[in-house]
Amino acid sequence: MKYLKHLFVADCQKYIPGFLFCLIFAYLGMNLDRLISNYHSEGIGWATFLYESAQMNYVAILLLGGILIRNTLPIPKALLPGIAIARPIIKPGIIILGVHYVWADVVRVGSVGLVLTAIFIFGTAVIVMWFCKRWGVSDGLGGIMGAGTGVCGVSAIIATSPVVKANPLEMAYAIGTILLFGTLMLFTMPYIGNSISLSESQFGAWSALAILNTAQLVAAAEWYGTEALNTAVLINVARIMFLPLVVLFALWFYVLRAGNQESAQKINKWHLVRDKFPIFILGFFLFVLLNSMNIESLGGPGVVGSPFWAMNAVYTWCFAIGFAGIGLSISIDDMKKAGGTAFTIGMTASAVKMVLGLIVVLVIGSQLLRVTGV
Amino acid sequence: MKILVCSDGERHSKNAIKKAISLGSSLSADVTALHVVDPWLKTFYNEIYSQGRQQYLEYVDQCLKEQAEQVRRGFDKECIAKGFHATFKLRHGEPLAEILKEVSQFCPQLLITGGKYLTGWKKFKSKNLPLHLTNKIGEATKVMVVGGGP
Repeated sequence: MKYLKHLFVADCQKYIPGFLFCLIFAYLGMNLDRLISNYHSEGIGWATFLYESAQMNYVAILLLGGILIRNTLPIPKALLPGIAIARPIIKPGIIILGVHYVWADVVRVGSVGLVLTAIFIFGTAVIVMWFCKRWGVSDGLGGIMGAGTGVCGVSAIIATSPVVKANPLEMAYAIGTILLFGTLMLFTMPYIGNSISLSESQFGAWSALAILNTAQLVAAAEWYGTEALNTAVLINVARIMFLPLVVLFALWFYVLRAGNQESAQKINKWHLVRDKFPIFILGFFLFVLLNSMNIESLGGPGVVGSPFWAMNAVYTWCFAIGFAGIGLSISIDDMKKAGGTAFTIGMTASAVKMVLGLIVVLVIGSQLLRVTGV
Repeated sequence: MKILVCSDGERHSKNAIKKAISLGSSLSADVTALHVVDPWLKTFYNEIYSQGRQQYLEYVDQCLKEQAEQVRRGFDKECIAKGFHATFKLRHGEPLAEILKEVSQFCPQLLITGGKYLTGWKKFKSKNLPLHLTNKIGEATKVMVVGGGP
């Protein structure tokens, strides 16, 4: 019993009510999606409007519904811890999503993604930090906004803030700004993509390059379609691999280059890279490897009744619970914290990445960005 | 008379502390300063791809602790300069809720807080704590908002 206790997080019972709430909300959202889809197939007008014009699939239902609940109803405090842990459930979903790929996809789309992310992500981080330094923005704010607008939004701010010694006010401004622009992009980009007839793979690449925050990126891509999600996740995996490098760059730019020897000596660079490396992507690549080996007993996402087919169903559930958590976590009060210099940096970086990203995916075309899975 | 003054360490809050001590010493009032440690930043530690969560949580804790200590030092310094004795209290949680809890326990006749003068977009965007306090605190406590000027 004593050993069994160690398997659980301390106070794990506090997460149960909120998590169950997300689970029920996800179940309702997915069934509402199915209902709208069925009515749409039967040619019912309002369902066709919701399904085709308003693009109301389970992602939109969970996000919009979640935002509506969070910002209009008094959410009991007992639900908040569980809602907060529902968001990272997307991570096991991304690992399982590895069954959608084969190595040929990883090499083709991944290498394009790697080049694009190297330019966009590292480029954004370096340019933002450089401009901030030039314009006298504090090192703390410049460092977290460079990493936040460049790599993966709030996750990057969390990784970078202790390194560049951002103060609480700067962190609040930066997180509020990233959430604000990430959410704006989540709700505008799918409609822009549809209006200019962007293919799913092009949209996936565009969202992976432009959307500031990871949660919103995954949601926007899944909203647009499965092919968009497949491309977005692969490019995003390339993007997240840059996180340790961007943190290391911030360390060099703000601490080592400035000759702050005392701070520099306290930081072990190897530990820094190790701690910031996203180990979960190894799980993703393991599934890609297993899928590429064509092991008969594992089947595939399309082989009904096979282990990989079952995993494919699980990933949708992971995503639905995660999106329920994301929707229920988007608070207008949090976004109101956006402000000051962080707001200007976030707005400029979002606009530039959105426009340049769109131009790049239009030039590259769909073929190079499509995940075939075979 | 009981006076409660809220401070977050910003310039307008410092002015609020000066005002509270000056009023307290001239009215021989019981003055309590309150600083609320807001754990809002910690709620983001488990973002989907966040790495180095423990380091982040420890860093935020350390920053908030330093900030609280700085507010306490500033308050003590102001009290010593005026030769006035007052109490300093620390609370942890959402600022508005914690201030209201303190008001219900301490029952001050006057609550002094700092506040920025906001117009237009900034007024819409701001959480405007002094306004929420004024709306939520009963008639028994008057709210005084001190600006950030020199």
